[in-house]
Amino acid sequence: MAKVQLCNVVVLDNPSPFLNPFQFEITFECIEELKEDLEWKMIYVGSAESEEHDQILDTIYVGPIPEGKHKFVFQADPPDEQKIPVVDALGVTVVLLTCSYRRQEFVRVGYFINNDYTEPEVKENPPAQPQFDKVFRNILASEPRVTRFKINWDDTDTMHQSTDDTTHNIEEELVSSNGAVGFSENSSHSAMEVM
Amino acid sequence: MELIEDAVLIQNGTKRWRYDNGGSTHEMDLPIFSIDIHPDGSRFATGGQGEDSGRIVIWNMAPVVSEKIENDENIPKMLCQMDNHLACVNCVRWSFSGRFLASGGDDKLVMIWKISKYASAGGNTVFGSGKVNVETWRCATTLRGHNGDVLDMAWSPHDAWLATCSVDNTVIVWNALKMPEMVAVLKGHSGLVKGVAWDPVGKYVASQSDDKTLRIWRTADWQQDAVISEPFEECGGTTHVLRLSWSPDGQYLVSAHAMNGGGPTAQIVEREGWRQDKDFVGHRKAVTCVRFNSNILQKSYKSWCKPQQYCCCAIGSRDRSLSVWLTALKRPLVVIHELFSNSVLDLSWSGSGLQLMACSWDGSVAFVEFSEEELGKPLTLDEKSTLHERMYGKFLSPSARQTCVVETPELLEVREKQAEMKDPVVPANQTEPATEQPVTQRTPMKGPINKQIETRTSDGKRRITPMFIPPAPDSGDVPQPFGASGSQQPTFSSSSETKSRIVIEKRDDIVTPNVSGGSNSRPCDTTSAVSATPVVNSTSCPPTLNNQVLGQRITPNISDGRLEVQKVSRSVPPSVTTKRRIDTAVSVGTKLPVVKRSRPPVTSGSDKQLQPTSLPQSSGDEGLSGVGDVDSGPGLKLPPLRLQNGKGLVVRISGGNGLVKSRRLEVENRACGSSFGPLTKVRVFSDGCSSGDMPQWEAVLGYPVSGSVANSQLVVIACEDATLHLLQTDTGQRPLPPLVLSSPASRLALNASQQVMAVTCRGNLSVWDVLKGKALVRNESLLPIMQAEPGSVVTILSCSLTEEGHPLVSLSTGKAYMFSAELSSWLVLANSSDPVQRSSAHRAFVSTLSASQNTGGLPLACLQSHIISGVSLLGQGSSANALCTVTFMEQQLAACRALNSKQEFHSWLLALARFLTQEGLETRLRLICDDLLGPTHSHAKHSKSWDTSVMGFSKHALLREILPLIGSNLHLQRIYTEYSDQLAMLSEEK
Repeated sequence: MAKVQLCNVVVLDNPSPFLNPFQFEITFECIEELKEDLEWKMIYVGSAESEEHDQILDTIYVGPIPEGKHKFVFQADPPDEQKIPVVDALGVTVVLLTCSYRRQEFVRVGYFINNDYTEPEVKENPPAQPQFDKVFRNILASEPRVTRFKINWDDTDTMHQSTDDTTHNIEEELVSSNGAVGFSENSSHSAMEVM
Repeated sequence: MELIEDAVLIQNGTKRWRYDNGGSTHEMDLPIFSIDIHPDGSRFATGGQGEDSGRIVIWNMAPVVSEKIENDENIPKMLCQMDNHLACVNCVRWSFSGRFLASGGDDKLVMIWKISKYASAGGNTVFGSGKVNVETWRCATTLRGHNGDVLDMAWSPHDAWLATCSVDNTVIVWNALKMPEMVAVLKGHSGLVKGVAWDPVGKYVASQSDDKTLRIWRTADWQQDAVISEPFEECGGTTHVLRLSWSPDGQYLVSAHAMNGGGPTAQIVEREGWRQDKDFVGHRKAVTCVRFNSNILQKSYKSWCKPQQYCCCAIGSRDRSLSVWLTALKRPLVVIHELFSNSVLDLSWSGSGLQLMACSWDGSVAFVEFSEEELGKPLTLDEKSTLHERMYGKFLSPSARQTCVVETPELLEVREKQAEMKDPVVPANQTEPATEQPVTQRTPMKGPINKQIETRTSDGKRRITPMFIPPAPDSGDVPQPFGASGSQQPTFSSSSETKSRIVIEKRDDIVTPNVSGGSNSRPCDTTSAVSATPVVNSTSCPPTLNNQVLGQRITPNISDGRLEVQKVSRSVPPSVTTKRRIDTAVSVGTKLPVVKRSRPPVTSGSDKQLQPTSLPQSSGDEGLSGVGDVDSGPGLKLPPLRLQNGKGLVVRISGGNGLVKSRRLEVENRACGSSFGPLTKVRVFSDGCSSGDMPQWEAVLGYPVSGSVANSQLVVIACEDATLHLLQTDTGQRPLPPLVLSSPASRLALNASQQVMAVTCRGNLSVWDVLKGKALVRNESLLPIMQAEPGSVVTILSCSLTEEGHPLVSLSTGKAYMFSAELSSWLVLANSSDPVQRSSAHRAFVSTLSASQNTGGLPLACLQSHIISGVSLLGQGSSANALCTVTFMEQQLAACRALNSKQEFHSWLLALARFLTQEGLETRLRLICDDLLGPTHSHAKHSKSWDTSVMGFSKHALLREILPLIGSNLHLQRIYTEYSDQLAMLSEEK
């Protein structure tokens, strides 16, 4: 079962000037103490055309995580405007939040962003070279797109690796030969359902 | 997920409800496998398939019952959605107390949920789905034990147990007061077990399986009481579930799918002799579920002179219809045809007994309401329990198994003492399940509660310790009836203009991130890509920003789960946009076939952790390489002893006589040369001296040493020329000249009585008593016990010598042997693959001898620990086979006798007595007691045929220990009285 469920993300300081840092207040619930840290990433999609312009704004570790509900603010600096193609400076783009456990991504949240000038005169006649200090960023917080992935939450595999001991190996062999009894019919289960 | 009324009204009073998946009507309706109404009628739970997981939803009942409430938008319909099960949820069941909800699914797990309230206000959402959880239900315990999909579950009366059944052919009974403890694993079915039901008086539990049988199990000893197969012979396994049900008066058990005369029926099994001569007929396809109304009903019909009591039962079938029967009538009370567009999968009655809900594979739920005139007047709880008492005696108390009257006051005392000794924590009111895990209670400091702490890792990244949101102190945890009034939809803000108010405490410590990414070396990307279809909880309306219709869409890219942003021309009208979107999605998909992102590497520091530390292969490991690889010649070939590095070895010798401290034996091959060849030096130092110091004594040997064992009396050295040198540890003197072995030594062992054992490379074993100067075992071959199956290899796991000079050998086959010189034969002391042992339920009865004691005192345990693999038998604590348990325990006793292991003998004897007592096996108990008591006639003292002691224990003392155990089963109180009286008489005579 998924050990971590994302409960809520609140977009803070929104709307805000383009050069302000991003702030997301993330609430998640964990049903069992995690052995390892979560890894959160914030990715700014610089251009819809190509992933080359994606910028990882920050990568953080979050831990330790005991069982229960937790909240933290994930703040990251704004993207490097130098790396954003001029044509994509304004308009709609996306910021992504991803979370991984044991380097397996299990949830991804995408938000649309609209970047635009607020001053009417600049808005009417946008300069050829975007002036980011005049751009405002508006994150469409009400419509997050959440993608969840099934991952392996167990720690069993690594445990076997670490206890590399001959006697253990022998025991495992015994276990496996014993364990084979009577469980093979499970596989037939899915084929059986005819409703 | 919204509960939306489907426009169809089926019959008067029947409403039909549908699940709706997040606003998109294109998706197929997800099947609902299970439904259960909370005992207080305020909520109901459904379980089934979610988008990518199993899904449990707890709903508010009021909007279902009342249309007015339903139309009030301020009253939430969905209270909580839990997507924690990895795969489809097949069953949800409320405990009788209403505090717990059990759920079981295809992920083999059973989860126990309870309500919790978080101190910090604010809603809790199923994030990204737009749904709001009004309540928070959290998983209190996860029960792992089944090896296959869990299909049905049932709480026993008074919530003492929870029975779960699975496609692994078993039923597991869990201790609901002490989760996740297993009480029993009921094995017997040879097919998927698809339904389980408790007898309302708690004496039986019944299960129905695809193996075309219905089995009834006793709760007294968890043994099978009856197998009913006749009505099921013609059944095919065409139903997802076979939820059977027991009538509230306990008189009838009604099965799911049975056949009679070629037609599907629900078989009625009478409690009296499990007679099967009635059935419910009429459904056109297999019956999937049966549910009795929990009330016993009463009604005065005109034709009857006095009010008659009867039960009411609902039956759901694959023929998509639902029928309701009263046991007083020959025909069904009501039949609702075509209720669903697919099979009915579960039914539930409300506590009041007037409301019935059903769920179906077609993803909808139906609600039927009856009037008291239609069904009858329910008996009150008191009347019901009076009826039960009249029928079954005082069974209903949770401690129902104590059904006897205590006859002697003395015994009462014994029982009281035992009760005191038992877990004093267990509260008197057992009706309240203590699923309350300590885990959930150890909250005090789980993390900072008012700030988040930021540190830096060695690679400069931040590591954040999040703010812990403590749950509100559990207020009894009984979910409050969710009224129609009062509760408002919690508001939930997803955006805020303010900046973060969480205090961030920055610390300068450099920390290492706690990430190993153990699975990193494996293609984790593929696992996630293969096993997971990403779920996108997206709403279908396009995002509009500042009134700009920007033709940009986020389309989930299924292949790597990444959001793709695509540009579509602004001028295109919206209706075409959708189409274009699909087109471009396809073209993009072909243009960029593999745009899989390589994930940025995690810190080098953690990468180091990832390196599997492969241990250098020590040469000593070769000692385990098998005999199978050497085919040449008859007999065995065992790996010879060899020094790890070929040069020398150090053996620590602890203890010794009087003031002598620990010593150290050092052997160095080719330490010095002589004109005739290299010499091996043997030196003994007292501990604390370095090699440079003066040794206590030293000696040289002319041949390289291949191995050595030593204790405080004797040093045994095997040389490569197949000789065995014996030296006294204190002086270095030789009690005997070197012994010649028939081939180089493979294993050596030594005991405190100066007895030496050697196993040669040819698989011959000898034991010598050095003090007496004679052989105890002469060149005995290991061949009889090391016969390998073709293609397999048998290796020796350990060799040792008991204090009596009996050699012990444990093998990789999972067996352990002792050689008895007296019997000139090998004795089997342990055999982990023996079906008797494997089906034995002894573990629950053996009090573990404290590990702090010198394991030398537990030779049998020591020996068996080598070879008994750590498999936790499913049958642990089960009543799988009492005979196996008894046989195994007696084998253990015999093994203890052979090993002369007093402590273990004592422990196993008590375990056996405990087991026999629990099972009520009187005859065997008497045999044990008779032997311990001995002759009671007046000349008993002069009796020669009876020893007063066994294994160094006084038999009478043992009997005194066993009697209180026997007293714990009231059925055996006669035995207790009989033997304690005789024992008292004997001690008076003395």
